[in-house]
Amino acid sequence: MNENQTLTIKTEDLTKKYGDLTAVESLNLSISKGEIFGLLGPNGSGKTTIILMLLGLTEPTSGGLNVLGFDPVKQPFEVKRMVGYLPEKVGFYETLSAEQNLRFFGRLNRIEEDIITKRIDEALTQVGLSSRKKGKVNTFSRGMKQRLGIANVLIKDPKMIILDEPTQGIDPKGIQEILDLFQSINKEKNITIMLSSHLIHHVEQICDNIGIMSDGVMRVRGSVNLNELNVDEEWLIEFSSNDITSSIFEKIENMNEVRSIEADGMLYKANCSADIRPKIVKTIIQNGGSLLTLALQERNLISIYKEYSEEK
Amino acid sequence: MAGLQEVYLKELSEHLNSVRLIIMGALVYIIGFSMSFMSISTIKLEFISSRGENLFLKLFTTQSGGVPSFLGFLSFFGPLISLILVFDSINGEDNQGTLGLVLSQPIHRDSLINGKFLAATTNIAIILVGVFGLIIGLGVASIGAFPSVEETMRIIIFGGICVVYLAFWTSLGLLFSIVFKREGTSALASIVSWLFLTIFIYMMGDMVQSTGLNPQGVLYLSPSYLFTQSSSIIMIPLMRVVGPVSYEQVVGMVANPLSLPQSLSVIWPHLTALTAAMMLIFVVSYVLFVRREIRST
Repeated sequence: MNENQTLTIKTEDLTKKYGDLTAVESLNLSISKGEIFGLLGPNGSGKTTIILMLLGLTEPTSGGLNVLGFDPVKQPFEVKRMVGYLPEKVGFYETLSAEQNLRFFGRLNRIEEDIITKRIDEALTQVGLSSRKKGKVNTFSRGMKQRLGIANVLIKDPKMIILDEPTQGIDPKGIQEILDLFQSINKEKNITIMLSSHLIHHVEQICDNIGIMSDGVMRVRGSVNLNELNVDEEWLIEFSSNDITSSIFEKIENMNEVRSIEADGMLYKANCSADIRPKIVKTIIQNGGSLLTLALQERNLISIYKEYSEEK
Repeated sequence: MAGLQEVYLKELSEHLNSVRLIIMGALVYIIGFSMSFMSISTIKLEFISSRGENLFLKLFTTQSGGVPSFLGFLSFFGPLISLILVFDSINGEDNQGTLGLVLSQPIHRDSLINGKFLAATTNIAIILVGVFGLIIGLGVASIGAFPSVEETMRIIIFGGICVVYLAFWTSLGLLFSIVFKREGTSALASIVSWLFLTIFIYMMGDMVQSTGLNPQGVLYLSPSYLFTQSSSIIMIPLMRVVGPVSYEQVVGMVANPLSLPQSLSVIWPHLTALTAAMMLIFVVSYVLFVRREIRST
């Protein structure tokens, strides 16, 4: 029972297959209330499929899931009532105005007319579209439609917001504004937000936790703070030298901490289980070699994300 | 049926404001007006021989010179109105990006397709009521009499048949908009099926006839044939038999008009078939749409 109050989303071995293709494989994900969770991954890694399953728009092949205490497969109504969703390619009825569109979606949610009217003004102001309230959507740019999509999410007064690639098609200044908006919504109303993106630096700055997807598998899951990221302890030490003999090379290779080392001309890359830079320097110097450069490759979100997106 | 009313009203107002509907509506009004105007002159010529009976029905059915009757025009052109209104209703929403948004709201999924179907049918009915009123008004003005009770009944029934016939095409257009991803493809499929069922099938009928067989087996496949036959029986009380008549049938036949219940009993199978075809196609599109999986692309 307590779990339902603190957890907004929980999935157990959630799997989705399209024929032979496995879009999402055994996903175990839990998102707490009030958290901003970033779902990262290259295009086609299964992010949208996860979102569609959470909303009950797509049925999982196997596994269990729970959103705000409801099962989206059996109780899609309850889930859809509480979750605001911004699809990846959001669009609106082109011949209707921004206000008419929002009103229509408000009515679909069975919100009372005067409340809709009030919320439309609030939401349009929040996303910076209040001057275009009466403007027809076919005069809107891609970024404006995206903002309208966010306004549409706010109309519902949701308990949770799911945004699929919310920063797509928006200029850098707009992205910052939107991310700030998400953050303030999250703080003010304690609304859980889940957003997917293939652009890491957008997500990084506002998310509490992230999950990195590739090929339908969640590879890394953890806090944006690197130290807490749930990855194998791994130090990549890179050094270059023009006079490393085979005996020096062997000595380094035989160190306990060195998992593997490869040479590429003058450049050497060692994968180590600890930061053993001093040890390497000592070994090289004591054996009559010299060192040109030495560096510890930084492992941050970006490099981890890169590894997984390049894996293909 | 959460969401049905909202979708229905939105679709209705969207249609009524759309250029498509305005153009199609205007076309039907202009053609309906001019056709019945033409037929008035023909009716006046025949006035004496027809003893002045069923003049208002004749406004809808009389051909004058090369101009077809309004009934013939509706059987051929009416489907196009339906198809143009709905051929892109589902795939258009998908490409526009509204489908995912609508389906992620707390509504029943079938409300969307039901609302669209009902709204398109309502709009067609509105056009028909208008043009029927126009034709009858023209008749009253030029003939100087009012339609009798039976004529009114027949015209209302004819209107009902028109709505069912056009609803068949609406559900066909909806089906194409669900089956095909692109609006262009569903538009082409709509036009092809329209040409086939309203023109080519008659050619096939001729072909079958030339081999000495009864062409009706082929013709009954066309809703346009079912519509033309059944509305002719309703609107021309003198017409007693559907389709080609054998010599044996004519012998002893009295050239008297049928009463309304008799006319209805002649075309009952046609109406049933037409309604069933309409419902069948709608059920197919309904099932396809409700079971369709929303996928990321």
